[in-house]
Amino acid sequence: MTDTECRAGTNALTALMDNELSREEAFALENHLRDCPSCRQEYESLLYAYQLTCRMPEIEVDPSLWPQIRSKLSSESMIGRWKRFIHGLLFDRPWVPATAALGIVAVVLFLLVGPPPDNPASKEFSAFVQQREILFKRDQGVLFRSGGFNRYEPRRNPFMRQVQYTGQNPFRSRR
Amino acid sequence: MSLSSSPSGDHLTELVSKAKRGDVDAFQNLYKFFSRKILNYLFRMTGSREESEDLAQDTFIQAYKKLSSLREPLKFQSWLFRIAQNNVYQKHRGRQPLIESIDEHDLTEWSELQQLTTPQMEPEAQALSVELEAVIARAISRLTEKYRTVFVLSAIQRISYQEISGIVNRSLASVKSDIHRARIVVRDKVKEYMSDRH
Repeated sequence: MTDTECRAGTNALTALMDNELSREEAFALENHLRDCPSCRQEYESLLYAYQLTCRMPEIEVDPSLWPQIRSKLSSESMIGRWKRFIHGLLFDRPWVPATAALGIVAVVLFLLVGPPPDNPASKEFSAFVQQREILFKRDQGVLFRSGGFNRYEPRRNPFMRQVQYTGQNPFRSRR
Repeated sequence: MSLSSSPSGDHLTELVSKAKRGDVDAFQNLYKFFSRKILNYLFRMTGSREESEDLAQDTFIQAYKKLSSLREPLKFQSWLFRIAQNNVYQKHRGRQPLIESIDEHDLTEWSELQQLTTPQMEPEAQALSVELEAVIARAISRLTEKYRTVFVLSAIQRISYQEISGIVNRSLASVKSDIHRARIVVRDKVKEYMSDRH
């Protein structure tokens, strides 16, 4: 190794003490160190400081560190579990939130436009409608049930007297 | 609580896989293997035990949270050091280098630490060693963050150049050169101390 190579090879001195050179490179450098006093002196001084550094005492891990981390991980894992659950619902099983949303909408609609309050006037009205339906079915029409509502399609009998409703209860006068 | 040796490849892969699925016990085993290394790396980087413990705590919590992003379980150590290094950078961003933080108080702390670890030495030799180590500690703390990182990883943590290159995200040639320069700086401080003494 020439003088120029000495300067170029200074990184190699550190690499040699860190076992970062290939066997051939290490062999060549060790041979050079035997013949080059300046490189050898440089290497020895670096090695001395390195060995002192290696002897630096390490600090011990405080046993209370893990319990602190663990308690934070527990809360993190709770949040993480919820995140994973919500993510799974939204992306893996989208029918679950869709069904739940429909259910909520149905409940809200039921609460908004549900059955009328249970009072005497509405009872009387219901009884009137029911009675009218029965008589109408018997006399004139066919009961159709669709969509939760009852409606009549009267049979068109040209010979049958047509009843005209005037807002009064027509059945009461018939009796 | 802490184990110094690293787990075997298969064991490490198994622990990482389990921890990824939310197994905190598996993560605790990973902590046992790597906590000492991470803590000492952070201690050398910050010069403060308290700060290094806080950063170690943050590092492991972040590691647990981000574990799903780790694709190669065998690179867990490099990945963990990278998180620790980022934490150090974030903590010290905009702050002056650590020169001021290593003062006489820290040197005394060093002496106490060293006395605990080398009780068998002769008092005179021990005193020299304690002083020398304080000098080295101060020299490390005065390195720029770039040099300090590679110095601590190579000389104290004994991590390979290739792995260091992955941790600091720089080329192998750059890492090699930085390690050498950092060693020269520390060596010069030791030399200076020795020549002042004699």
